Amino acid sequence: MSPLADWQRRFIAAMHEPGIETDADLGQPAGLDVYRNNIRQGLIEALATAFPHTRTLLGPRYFAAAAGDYARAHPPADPRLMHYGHGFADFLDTLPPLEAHRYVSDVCRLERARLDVSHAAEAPALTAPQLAGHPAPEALVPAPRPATRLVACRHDVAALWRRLEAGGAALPPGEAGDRPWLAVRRDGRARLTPVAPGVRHLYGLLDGATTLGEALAIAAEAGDEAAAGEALGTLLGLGALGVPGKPSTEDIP
Amino acid sequence: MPLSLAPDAVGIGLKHQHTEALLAAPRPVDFLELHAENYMGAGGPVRETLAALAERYPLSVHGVGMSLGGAERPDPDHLARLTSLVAGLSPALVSEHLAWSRLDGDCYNDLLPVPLTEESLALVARNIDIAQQALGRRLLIENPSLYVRLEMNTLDEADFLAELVARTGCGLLLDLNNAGISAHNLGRDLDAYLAALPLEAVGEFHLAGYSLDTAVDPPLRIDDHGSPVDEALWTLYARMTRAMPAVPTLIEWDTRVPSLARWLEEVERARARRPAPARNRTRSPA
Repeated sequence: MSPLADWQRRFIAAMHEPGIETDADLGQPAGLDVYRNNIRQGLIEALATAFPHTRTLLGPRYFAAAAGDYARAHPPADPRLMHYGHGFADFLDTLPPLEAHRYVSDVCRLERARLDVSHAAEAPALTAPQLAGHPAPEALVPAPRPATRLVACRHDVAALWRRLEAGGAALPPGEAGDRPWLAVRRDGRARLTPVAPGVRHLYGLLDGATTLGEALAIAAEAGDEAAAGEALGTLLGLGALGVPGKPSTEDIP
Repeated sequence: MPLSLAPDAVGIGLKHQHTEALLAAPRPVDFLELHAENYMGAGGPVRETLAALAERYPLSVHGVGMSLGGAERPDPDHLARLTSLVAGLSPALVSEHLAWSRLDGDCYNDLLPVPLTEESLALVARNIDIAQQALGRRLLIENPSLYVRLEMNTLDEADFLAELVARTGCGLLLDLNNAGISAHNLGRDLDAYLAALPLEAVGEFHLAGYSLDTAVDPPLRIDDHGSPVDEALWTLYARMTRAMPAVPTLIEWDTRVPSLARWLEEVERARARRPAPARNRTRSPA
């Protein structure tokens, strides 16, 4: 290992250990505190920017403490801080004081999904008129647009989300249960919508490798044909599906 | 067609809260500087707004995450993203830092200090070479704000920067606020530092405010980019621009971001402090 690499490793170790005596060649303790504080505060602020509703629910002090712990355990792997915090909701799920408030993680996941779709690549949406005008729609192979994310919420947080979006005081969450949402950016705006489990099922089937006809048939077996058609209508209405033949894998998650 | 940058241009940082006003108003500043990493998403409204601004303003792309000052080579994925951004915008200036922020796959969102040794010099020069070859253009390297004096240093910072210029052909982004902060925090002679720099390589000035950490004795100056430029720095800026009138200036303000009107007051102060503009001189993209 080069002397510089060794020094850098010892410097980073010192960043993780406030209050301990450090090697003299790393620099003066007061100066090291500045770098340590810059790193910690910078990541707390990045998470606060990414998850404003989560911060509202937790309160600024608890949020800062949780975000600081998360930042210490999970430094970014990417210098683009817009992508930081993908594991933050899972981290919140591990905190015992939030045992009775797991819906906060649902809100956190919705905020993460909104950010992801906001920065995702553009791709045209498949529309209902396009589908209706196609000579063989059942042979199309749709796929989720890059600016689409499925979020698995475990509580009914729809009313709470609306209240937070409006800037109002937090509401208690609704009942626990399986509550899928879709986050979709369309015409430059990210929208988050609770959807039925059947919509999630069809969305999962339309993976860019399955024809629309096959996916609808599988979905109909799980429910009924009308429900599968309704689910397709929901996905088209939200703009969640990509134009057939246009791969959407250029998106960087 | 990239927009050219006047050599006495004064610009501000690009902040989302000002984009609407910057697009609507008659051009109130000469150029905009953006933090590259904030615009490296795959798409979306942020990129679309940037494209609209690029049609109206000369741009400076300022990277903060390349970690040129580390022992590791630049991350090829990140360098590819920067190259793509620069290719799409054709900015007048592209800059990075004499600092490191990445190690063993983890990123640290700060500009960490580089030991000034012959080994570091060779590695940083290698990294700048890699970046410049990928970008196909000259980088400006910014002098750092420092909070620690490293006993292992065998080179002065000005000599280190001069040697980087000589070895790689890079230019310098002379952040006068950083120079003042480091001089204060490290007990360095600011005038001697500036005199030792290869000033002919300077392609941009940065100006910013700082805060004071009085919890330590002696107090440290902190490069927080959250306050107006102080009077001593304006005086230094006037002196430097008399000697170097053809260098664009960027007023940084990244925390506690002011209203556009307040920021433009600082722009006017910069214009008032520097020599009368030279005519018929423009800086083409490097």
